[in-house]
Amino acid sequence: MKRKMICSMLVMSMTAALAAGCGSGADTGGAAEPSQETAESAADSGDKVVLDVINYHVGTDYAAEYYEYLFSAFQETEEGKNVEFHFEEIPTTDAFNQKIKLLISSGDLPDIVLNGGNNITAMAAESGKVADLTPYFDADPEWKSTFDEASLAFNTVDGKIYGVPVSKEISYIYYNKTLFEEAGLEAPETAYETWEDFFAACDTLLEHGITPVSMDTGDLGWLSNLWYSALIGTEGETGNEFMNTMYPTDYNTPEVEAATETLQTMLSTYTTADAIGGKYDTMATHFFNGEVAMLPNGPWMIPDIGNTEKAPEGFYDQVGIMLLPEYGMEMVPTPGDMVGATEPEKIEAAVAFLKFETSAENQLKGLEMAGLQPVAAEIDIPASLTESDPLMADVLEIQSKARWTYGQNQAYWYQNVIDTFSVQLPELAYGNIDAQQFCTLLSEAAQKN
Amino acid sequence: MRTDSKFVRRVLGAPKYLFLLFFVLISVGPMVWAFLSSFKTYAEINSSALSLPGSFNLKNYADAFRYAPIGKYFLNSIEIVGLSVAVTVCFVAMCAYVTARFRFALKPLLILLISASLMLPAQAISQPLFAIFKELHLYDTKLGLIIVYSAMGIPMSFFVMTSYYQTISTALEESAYIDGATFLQTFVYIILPLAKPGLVTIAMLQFINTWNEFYFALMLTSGDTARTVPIALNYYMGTFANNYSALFAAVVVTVLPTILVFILLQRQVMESLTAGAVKG
Repeated sequence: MKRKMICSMLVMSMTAALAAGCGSGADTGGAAEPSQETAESAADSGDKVVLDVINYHVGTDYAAEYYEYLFSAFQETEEGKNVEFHFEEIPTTDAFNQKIKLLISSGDLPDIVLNGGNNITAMAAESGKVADLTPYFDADPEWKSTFDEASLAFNTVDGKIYGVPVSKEISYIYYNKTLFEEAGLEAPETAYETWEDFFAACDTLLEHGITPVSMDTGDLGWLSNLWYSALIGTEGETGNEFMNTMYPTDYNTPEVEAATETLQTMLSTYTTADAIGGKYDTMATHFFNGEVAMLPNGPWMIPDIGNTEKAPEGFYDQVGIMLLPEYGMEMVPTPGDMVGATEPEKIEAAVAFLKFETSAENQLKGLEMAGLQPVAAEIDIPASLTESDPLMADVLEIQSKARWTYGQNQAYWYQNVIDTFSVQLPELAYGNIDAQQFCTLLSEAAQKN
Repeated sequence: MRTDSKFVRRVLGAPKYLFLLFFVLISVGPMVWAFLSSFKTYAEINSSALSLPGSFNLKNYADAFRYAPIGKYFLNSIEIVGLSVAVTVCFVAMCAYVTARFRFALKPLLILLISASLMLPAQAISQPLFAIFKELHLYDTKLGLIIVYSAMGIPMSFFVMTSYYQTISTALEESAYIDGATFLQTFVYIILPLAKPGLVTIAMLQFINTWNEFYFALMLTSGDTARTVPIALNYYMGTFANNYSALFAAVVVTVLPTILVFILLQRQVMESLTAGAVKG
């Protein structure tokens, strides 16, 4: 009996200890900054409109400086002078996407929902937690006309526009002029006419002891994905249609299987030994160090090319750009920023910020500071850009010469297909599976959705 | 003759030292590698993982503090992890003892419930937890994370300690009762000292798990008030813009103090590990 009583006391003291532990934590936690709600209501009591923003452009993010400028510059405008931002910083888009999905499902979205690359527009729209921006576009035809149809369509769900596209994603080939000269090659002005010409150049580079292309399999195999998308997307109308289709489920088509076979050859013959298992950073360093002749990527890489901490002094001048063979270029509309605010004055303020973000002036600023490709259909590029950043000027010029434009797997394929692609790439490279088996695995993954 | 046997003994003893050397290398190697990498440039890190840094400048350390509030997050980690370890050890020390030693109603149900909580993936409970925390104003507080980490750590620690208590002979408690000790005295003066190795083990497991925890630290916080070191380390991993040099510097800055504390306290830790065994 006595033992039972002591047992009960022990359990009680255990509970008390738990409460005590929590209590001490409460003191420290409560003594810190005011909560989000407190800060908001305090500001709301004045003339200020407080907008909650979850910002992933922080730390070493390529667009961190640009977004820092953007938020502070907006507060200096007429529309933004009464706006205050309350930021939650989430470093990396992966972490951001994890949290934003939780916030969508819990209905606790920030007032401005920056889009972290993953296409969450449909999910957010279906949840009913983001504002329909169609009336704002309709009320400002001049603003609406700055966007191309494809970009707006990409951000439309059930006939309503929910996202404001802020940039578009393109990619092409960066090549090392010095290595081309060493191999006695003359790079084409815009692109190799055919893949045969391209591989003939690769063979010449190999003969001179130069690794032709950068590829990877780690981190979803970004570089390999860009080659693969180009191989499929330039394979006639059918291949191009495939690479412009959202969520394809059948990969056992002649175009995809042929592209897979070529990709296998590229992995085994034309790239560095560490491509299998390697990640983008290492491959970019190979390119910066003049160890590889060609690397496919987008304009966001240009600041790194000119960064002497990453690339040798003078490397920027050694780099040229060309489209993928057969004048191919990856070009996908990007999911746009949304408005999660519910109060009218906050929605107005959030839309004003999005208009400011997509103004011609700021799209140029984004291009210069972060390599963000303007989404505006027509934008005047200043002549000074040719002198200050000739590579970026070339990028803007070369786009109009593309004969084939297509998407890439990370934008258009199911997530489990993207994962399968990355996981099976080493198997393909080592010859453990053939092209047909590889495509079957992709099809099987897609059909599970 | 004597020299020969000494030589033979040395030769036979060599594998022991090689074995120890191997374990020292695989334990210390990553830390030395991270330390050396913290002085390397981006290009040096990506060109050759095993090369030595070209120079020992402190720029990466300056960058580490520039990009992320690691100092603040480090102090948060110390506070949150320290308290969650204390709560877990305190709770489990008592709970597991009662469960290991006594039969009582609903004991199987209690064990089943604790076992079941081990099966729950973090993602499955994140949304209800988020909603509850918002409602109770625990969102973005250290207290919230302490509760979650303690709750997450208790099940595993509970099973470790239950097993450990079962290895302690009941004869010791019976002797104590015969000598007139009360239940509480027996637990505090006889059992707890014997259980020190187990308690140190669960404390270490809880420390390591919560120190590295990322998911809930992200989901249940929104500002610098309660965020911890794993979030800070993400600041160096931007899209197409990783700064491994600053990342390694931040890792050294955040890991070094804990290693130093362990080195300074290792005598006490080792004593606590062996004390129970000797006294037992």
